[in-house]
Amino acid sequence: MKRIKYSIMAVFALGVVALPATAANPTASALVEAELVQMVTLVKTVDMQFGKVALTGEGVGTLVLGVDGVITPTNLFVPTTGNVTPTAAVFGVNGLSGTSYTVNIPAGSVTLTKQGGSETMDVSAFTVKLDTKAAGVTTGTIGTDNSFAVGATLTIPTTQAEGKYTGTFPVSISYN
Amino acid sequence: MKRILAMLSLLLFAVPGLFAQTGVLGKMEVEIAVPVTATETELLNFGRIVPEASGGTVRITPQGERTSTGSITMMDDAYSAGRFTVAGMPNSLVSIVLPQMPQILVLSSGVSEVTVDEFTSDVPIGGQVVRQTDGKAEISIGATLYIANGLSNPAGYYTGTYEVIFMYN
Repeated sequence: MKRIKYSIMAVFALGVVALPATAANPTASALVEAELVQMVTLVKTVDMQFGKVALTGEGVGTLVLGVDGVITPTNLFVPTTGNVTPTAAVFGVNGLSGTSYTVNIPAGSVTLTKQGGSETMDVSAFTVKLDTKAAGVTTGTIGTDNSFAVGATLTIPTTQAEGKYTGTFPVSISYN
Repeated sequence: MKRILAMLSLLLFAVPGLFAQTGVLGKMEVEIAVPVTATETELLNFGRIVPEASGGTVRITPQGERTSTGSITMMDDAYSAGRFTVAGMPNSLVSIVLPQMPQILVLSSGVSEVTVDEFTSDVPIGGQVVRQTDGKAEISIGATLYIANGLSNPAGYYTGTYEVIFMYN
């Protein structure tokens, strides 16, 4: 028991001592202290909006929402009047410039549920586009990639009830 | 042992961000609007016809006007264009797909056939507007009936079906 306790204490002490040691001068050591309190934050700035569609009756409908907000409907009618503009979801990343991070989007499907009902639909094939990266690249750097867009594909079965459907999907970032 | 665990958590806290993660939930929204539905409100009916010696054609326009060619005598009887009430999203445009092949009408006794072809509708180019007020529109369909002579097509009641597809434009 005692031996284990001592070894952990030693690591702890080393960690504290080592931090200022990486700095070349007193000013830099202050910066190291700032880094310890700097948080990387992820905020959602724009919701994902697929807009309004109706099945044409020709088969299962798919609505691909690109990371640029452009929709590609299949077997769907997209009304031009009384509709809302589709938008990809947008997330903001804040933190110490130069911090590398990786975006994690759902790998499978996420469920949308009808408002005031129990009917569901699946959203899958999530895609991501960081500010300065090509679509599909999930790793970026704070300072150059301070936001990223997320698109997805909605699948609408032929018998889907009309109505407004909403849901949420988890997005996270991993960083060093 | 418990005490050691407490020390471990302190260690992790003191050296932050080796590999950290932060997450949020994004919201999604979509509205599924009503699909197009259609109800037949009037049968496409050519009425009562006498083919006589050599037969001919009977045409009904979507507007319900009936004309004939050949040795046809048309009785003064009920006839009509086919009529459908379409329901869909208000202000949307609905188009129609008509049969592209002759459709067959069979004598009720089943031994004779006539054909109906050249289906037309009153749907304008670009589609029929679904009314804002009630979300409906009326669509009429005409066609041409081909009849052989009275020998090949004996007197009787001929019926058949045809398929039309209504869809958003």
